Amino acid sequence: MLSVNKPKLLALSISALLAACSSSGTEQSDTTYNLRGTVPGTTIEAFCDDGRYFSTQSDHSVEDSQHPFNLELPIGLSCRLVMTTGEGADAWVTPIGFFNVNTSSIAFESDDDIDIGHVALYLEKDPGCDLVPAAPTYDFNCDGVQDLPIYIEIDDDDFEIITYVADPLDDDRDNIVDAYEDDDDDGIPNSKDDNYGTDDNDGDGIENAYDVDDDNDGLNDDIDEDDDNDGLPDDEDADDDNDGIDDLYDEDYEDEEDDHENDSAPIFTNDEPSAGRLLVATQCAQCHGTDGFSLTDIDAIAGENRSELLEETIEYVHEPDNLMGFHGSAYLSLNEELESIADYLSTR
Amino acid sequence: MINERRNFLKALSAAPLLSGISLTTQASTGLNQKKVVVVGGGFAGATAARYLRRWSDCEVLLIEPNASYHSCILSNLVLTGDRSLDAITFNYTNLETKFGVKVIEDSVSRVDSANQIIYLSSDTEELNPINYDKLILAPGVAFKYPNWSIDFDTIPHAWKAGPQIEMLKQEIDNLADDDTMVIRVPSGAYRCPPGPYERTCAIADYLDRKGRAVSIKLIDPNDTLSGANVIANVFSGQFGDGNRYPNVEYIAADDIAEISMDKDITLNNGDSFNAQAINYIPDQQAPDIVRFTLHPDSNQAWASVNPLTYASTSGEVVNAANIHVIGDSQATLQPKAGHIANAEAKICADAIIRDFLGMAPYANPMTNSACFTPVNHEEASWISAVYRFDGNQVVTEKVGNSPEANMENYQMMFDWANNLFNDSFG
Repeated sequence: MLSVNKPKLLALSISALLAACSSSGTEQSDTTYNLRGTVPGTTIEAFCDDGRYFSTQSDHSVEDSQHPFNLELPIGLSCRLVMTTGEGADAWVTPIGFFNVNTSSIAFESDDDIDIGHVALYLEKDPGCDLVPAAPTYDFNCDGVQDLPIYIEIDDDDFEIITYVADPLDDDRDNIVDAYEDDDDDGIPNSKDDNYGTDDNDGDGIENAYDVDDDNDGLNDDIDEDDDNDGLPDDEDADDDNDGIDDLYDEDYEDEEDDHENDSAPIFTNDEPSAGRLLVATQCAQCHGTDGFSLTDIDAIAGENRSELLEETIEYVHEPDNLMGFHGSAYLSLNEELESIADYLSTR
Repeated sequence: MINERRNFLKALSAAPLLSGISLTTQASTGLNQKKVVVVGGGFAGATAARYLRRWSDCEVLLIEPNASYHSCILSNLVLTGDRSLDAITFNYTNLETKFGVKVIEDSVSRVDSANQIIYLSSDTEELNPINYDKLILAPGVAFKYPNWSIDFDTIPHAWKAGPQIEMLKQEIDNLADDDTMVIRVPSGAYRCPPGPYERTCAIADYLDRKGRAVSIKLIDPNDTLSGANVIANVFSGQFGDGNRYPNVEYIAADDIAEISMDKDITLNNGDSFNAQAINYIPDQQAPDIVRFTLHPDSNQAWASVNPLTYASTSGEVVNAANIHVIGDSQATLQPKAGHIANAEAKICADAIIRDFLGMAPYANPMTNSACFTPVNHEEASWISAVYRFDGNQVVTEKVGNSPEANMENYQMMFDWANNLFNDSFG
């Protein structure tokens, strides 16, 4: 578990935000530092608090090298790194995070040159996304962006890892910068996505009503949380495929088991004791039902997709007036526990 | 200096997509020779019994003197007639028939901790010792009587639901215009910290709806509503001039010194007045079975436990091994309430199963104490706290409350309570 000192963390975030505010309105310092490392055939991008963007390529021309790169960044400016291999449809994006004994984050700043060493990326898109059915191992929504950053340990007094309460460049705090967010999971970031919000969300030419995988996330709708993307989660939606026929009477739609609307938890389980099993029992079950099988209007979360669970929990942080928003923000620094919870619930 | 940590993506593999198989047969953990005795069938005890059987095949014996349990959660709505007592009453049939818990309607008279044996109250000759591998004590709270005489059959505490709630309801229904009602908040740790304030709101709102002009005096030895805390955030703006309940007078940092047979009340500050209805919620401590068994040599009110397992850490008895205390009777800083007692029960059940299997307890257990609390008959607020283990003790990760009371929270209160009831007794 990450050992995090809360008061210190909060102080850090506030000072970082203040720093961000002041730097955006004043003359930028010309002083820069070099962020170095090696990574094969990759575009290295940095997204920084004042809106500035920096990028470079790793150098494959040096024989027998591991493709060194050198990115010049302003001293004292908080930035986030993203690495991309391949181009177009083959582009594979990996967020980079940093950690030390106290904290972890994708945001950092440095006062001096820093060598982050060799970064061993997955060099291509998750091959599991090409299988039918999809069986991804590191990109669960198959959007070409790795779900979790690769974390690099850097223990250096000049290098500060910045934990935000609200990261201006990562609204939903999923550690993927907003520029690479893909809300309909069609593999195209929102900002470049013409199909987002239309009747054919994934742009595959099949209208959502007839598409077994409306959002092209590699998950057939029967295990997807919001099949018709109507904004109404399936477990609150009496008509999951938007065809005007109540799910209970709709023979064209196999949703008997997709949303646990009428299911209850199995009486007995045969799992080994695990962190996920216990944490779900202590943190989730009282409101969401035993193992997440809700018997009331509160969302059922049993069997929900792992990355959706993580994303939704983190998104709730923006709703502090909501009880789940309160709990979501309490779990923010507890990555391992949250992931254990998502692992367990997604396998119910 | 520089290392790389691949997030355990590979280890995860495709497991999340392989749907878990629902097992309807008995768990087979090979623990059918192990026996756990659970004392008390409230939220803590019922949940412990239920989850011990969900997660293992060990033998579970639940000892509870009452055939059914009346939830304290939502019980203030019974006072106002908004919910029936039946709706918050649960029996142990599900635990028996679905989960195979053996339920005995009795109480425990004595624990022989050195020999890991208990005796039932009905077994006055101690002829039928019941052995255990693990003993879970979950008897809730006992009342401490004040140093003046009080009879709860004439002045209800109504702090354990059931007949006492019906008695208090009768008193409230008998109130006439210009009458006075007194509600006393306990000092020290007590069950359901927002409860007395919620109750005051519920009663004031009910009397308003009936058109009764009654003065209510809320007497609080703790002065909670003047402080900076979640209870004050939710309730301090409800009482007194200019607020929703101007007829409620909050009397802080004082206590009842005596109540006469004629319901004349004298406060420590010397003030005295007559009341037509009194709800005296007494100070509380762990029941005798907990204190006499684990803390016989001190006046310690609540049982010391290890928050990883809820095993007793009493240093006062030779052998407290294999005795666990959960729920209201234990002494950690966690509030005494049904929602969090349910969580403590699961940590304890998991730790016991792990111990039987030769595993260490889970090192980072967490709990939370969410609750919805109504401030009138159509609006509620929520209060919550998240707790974790810091390596030594339970610490508070975060505490908060809803910024306002609203109707959405009032509806969600029932959704929350029903899932909680089912997760404990269903």
